[in-house]
Formats: sequence, structure tokens, C-alpha cells
Amino acid sequence: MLGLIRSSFAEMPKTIIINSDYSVKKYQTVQDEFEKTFSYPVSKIDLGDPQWGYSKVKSYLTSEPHGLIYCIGTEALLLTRKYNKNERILFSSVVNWLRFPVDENSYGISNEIHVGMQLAMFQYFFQKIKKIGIAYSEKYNAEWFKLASIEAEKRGIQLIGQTITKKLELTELLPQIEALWIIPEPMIISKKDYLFEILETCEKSNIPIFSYLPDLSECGAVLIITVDDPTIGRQSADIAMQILEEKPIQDKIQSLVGSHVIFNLKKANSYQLKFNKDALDAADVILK
Amino acid sequence: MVLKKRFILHLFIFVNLVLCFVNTAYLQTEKIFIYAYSPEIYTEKFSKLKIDFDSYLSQFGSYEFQPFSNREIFENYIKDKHQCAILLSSWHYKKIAKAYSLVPILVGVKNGSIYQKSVLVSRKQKIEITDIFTNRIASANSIEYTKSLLMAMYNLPDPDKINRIIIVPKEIDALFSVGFGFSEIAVTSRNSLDRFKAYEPILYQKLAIGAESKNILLPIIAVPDGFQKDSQTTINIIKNMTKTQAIDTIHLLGIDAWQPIDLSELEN
Repeated sequence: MLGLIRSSFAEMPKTIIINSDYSVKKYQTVQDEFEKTFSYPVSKIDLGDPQWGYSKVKSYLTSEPHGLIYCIGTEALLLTRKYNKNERILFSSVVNWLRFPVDENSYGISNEIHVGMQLAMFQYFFQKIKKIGIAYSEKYNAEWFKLASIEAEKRGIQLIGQTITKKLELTELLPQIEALWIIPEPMIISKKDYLFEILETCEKSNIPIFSYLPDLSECGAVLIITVDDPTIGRQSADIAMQILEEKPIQDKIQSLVGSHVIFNLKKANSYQLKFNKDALDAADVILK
Repeated sequence: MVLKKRFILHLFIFVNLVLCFVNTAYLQTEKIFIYAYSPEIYTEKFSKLKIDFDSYLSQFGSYEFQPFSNREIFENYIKDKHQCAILLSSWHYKKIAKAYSLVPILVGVKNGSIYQKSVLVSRKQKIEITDIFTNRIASANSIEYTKSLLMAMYNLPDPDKINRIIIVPKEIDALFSVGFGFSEIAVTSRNSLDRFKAYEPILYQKLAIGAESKNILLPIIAVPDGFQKDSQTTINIIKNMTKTQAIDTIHLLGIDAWQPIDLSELEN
């Protein structure tokens, strides 16, 4: 039986893994885990390797039919769709995938942890925190804020928004909230000054910060919930195999099933925050 | 007066114990390793485990903690080691104890019990065998161990048909993934499910237990047969972790403490 399956594998067009840059640790982890789990033949392109010039990539992507093209990272996704508009693609590790056109041949894993899961995790650690502030721009995150507010309401949490225009203004927001949630908001993330101003202001006001950026744990954020890169690789392999076996896939763009949680215990203690000690089991990293 | 005498007596015992530890540590020339492999520990936690264990062990002399993420490498590595302690799951212990001449010394304790149960959780009332073969299964254990649990729960002869297991970092991830509908089935311990019920009552209401395992012994500390007589100091060091700040390290193993194992427990 296994032999029969294997021989049919051999006849199947190869799956291409196109990595934005294999030397970047998170992309490397994703690819390695994918390959460990995926049981079909693959060929690989590493855009970080100088031997893969754009013309070579183009000819590779357009030369023959492929079972599937798995794109790791934004550059890989953009390049693949530029040169090959028709074949099935699967993407992961793409920040804010909503920026990119997704057609019926596109499958993917969101690089953001599901908002409900993040809120559940916040609540698991801090049951008393009921008012969470978010600074966001109308341009990028108005819709997300609406959806997140609905999710939060189900949990008895109120999300209090502060829209960012030209200047970041937190003076009105801070007195109303018990924690600030830094989301993937380009107006904040792309400006280091804004980010540091937020961290500094919250520190002075004893407002704990929740975020998705691992680096912020070293800068005073209390709770970080981010994607777990090995799980991205494994889940991508699962979706890829379902696609190749023509099995039904309920959600073409899926939320990630595994999170990476960093809890800054030192900071939580310095703010004298009451937290659920049982929740420490859910932390992958505890900073003391 | 009686209190004073009692205090002096306790002080005397304490000083002797400390001296005993110090002497053993300085007399010991060869480094003693604690080798660890457990399918119940997510491998990404190994670096933290190693740092924390080594920091605790360093105060007692020449000891080192060495975790392994691959079962085969672990088994090959410990084959010729005589002066060491070995941390492994009870499931794994039963598989290799005879061939490796291992003697069990300690067993983990969680919530006062040396056993745990694994459960299969889904949003459906019943999990059929076909669901095991076709649905996505989230588990914080290794694939091999998860398959063995499923095979035992459903009396399955062939593990090859179970091929949609996704390993996640923590049991709570597995439960959330089913609760939010990202996976169809979660494999988790009964303890984690009970905790989920307490903190996530609304999501918990959407879940049902499809199957439950028999009692499973928590992880074991074993030593090679030839080292048993001389292993007392090492075993005491491991056992006493709960009395220090290193208790957080024990929690990373999914247990609260260690206790001496009764050999009859392994017969089940």
C-alpha cells in the first residue's frame, strides 16, 4: 500500500519551496520544519542566495507545472505571483497578508495570532484587566479594530481606541485604560520614535504593555504573544498535503495553531500586577 | 530551652548535610550528566530547561543537564553511559529500561498524583476512528507518542494511517485551536483540560471529550544499574529542586515535584 502511494508521489509534479531568505533564522526554521513534515518531493529556491537571480527564478517558476508553490516570506510571495499567476500557491510568514491580492488558487497561514486567541491569552494571565487601549490608524486598522472590539466584548473586555493621525497622542487614552496593546500598526511600528515614546509614557504611567513583537519584552512589555515559527512550518506542510491530495480545505487562509508566549514577570511585579500563577505554564519564556 | 536544643540539633544536621554535599561535590572528578528526552516536552523549551537546570546544578559541583530533541540520538548517546541520571517519560522508560539496564528512582508528581490521563477533545460529541485518520489533530506531545496514545485509545493496529498530527508548543494551544476551530481534535492531559474549564468556561462549553486514556505515570528519573549505589547525591540534588527557586524549572517539565517510585507502579 505504502509502495503504491510512494510511486504515485514520484509521478506528481514537484512542490517548490521559495524562501525569501533562508539565512534568516525564522524563515529557516519554517522551511526546516516544513520539510521534516512534508512527505512529497520538493525543489527549493533561496532568494537570499546570490545564485538565484531574478531571471533564473522566473524561468524556474514558469518552466513546467508544479504541484504547489510554497512561498515563505513577503518577497517570495510577491515574486511568485509576478511570474506565475496561475498555479496554486501556499504562503506563510507574510506580515499583514491582507495587503496582497488573494485569488482562488491562494492558500496561506496568517502571520498574526487570531485576535480571539490573543485576547483569551491576555485574560488567562490577567483576569482583572478589562480595559485595553489600542492606538491605530484609520487607514490600516479601522476594520481590524471593529472586529477585535466585538471579540473583546464577548469576553467582557472593552477595547478603547485612539486613532493616530499625524501625531501620536496618548494623553487622553492612558487615564482610561488598564493596559495598552501594541498591534501591527504601520504608523507605529515603522516609526521607532513613536514606539519608544509609547514605551516611555506607559512606563511612567504604570500601564502594562501587551504586544506581538518579541523584542519589546526586553523593553518593558509585560506580555508578548507571537507566532511560533516551527508550528508555521508544520501547519503549512499539513495544508500543502491536503492541497496535493485534493482534499477539501475549509479555510484557505488559516490562523496559526501554535503561539509563542513571553511573560515579563519582573515587569509584572514592578507594576504590582495581579496575575494568574497557573498561567505561567502557558509561557514559553518567563523573564525574571 | 527545649526549643534552643532543638534548634542546635537542626543546625547540626543541616551543617552535616551541607558538608556531605560539599565533600561529594569536590571529591567527584567525573562530571555527572542528567540526560533528558521526553515526547511530552516541546523541544523549543530545551534551551530554557538547560540554562535553568545548569544554573541550579552548578552550585553542587560538576553536573550538567543535557536534553535531546531526537529519540534515536538520545538512545544512542546514553547507551554506554554509566555515571548519569536519565529523565524520560514512563512510556519511553518501559520501552528501553531492560535493554539499557535502567533502574527507576523518582517519578514526577502533579497535583498530588503520580498519574495523569490524556484526553481527546473535539467540538463534536463523538470522535470516530475515521476522524482520527482524516482530521487535523493538535498535540503538544511528540508525533510518535501521540500516535501511541491514539492507538491505545482506539485499539488501532497501524500508526501509518494517522498522519495529520500537528505538534504545538503547549497544551493550551491545542485546546484553543479546537475551541476556535483551527483544528478538529486536540490531544491534551486531563489536568490541562480541567484548567481550561476553569479559565475558559465559554470555549470549554463548545468542547467534548471523545476518548480518554488509562492512567499514565508521569516522567521518571532513572539511573544505570551500575550507578544506583552511588547515585544518592545526584538524586537528592534533583529531588530538592522543589525546595529552591528552581521549582519553576520543574514546572517546565509539567510536574510539581519528584517522589521515590514504587516499582509496582510500573507494572500497570
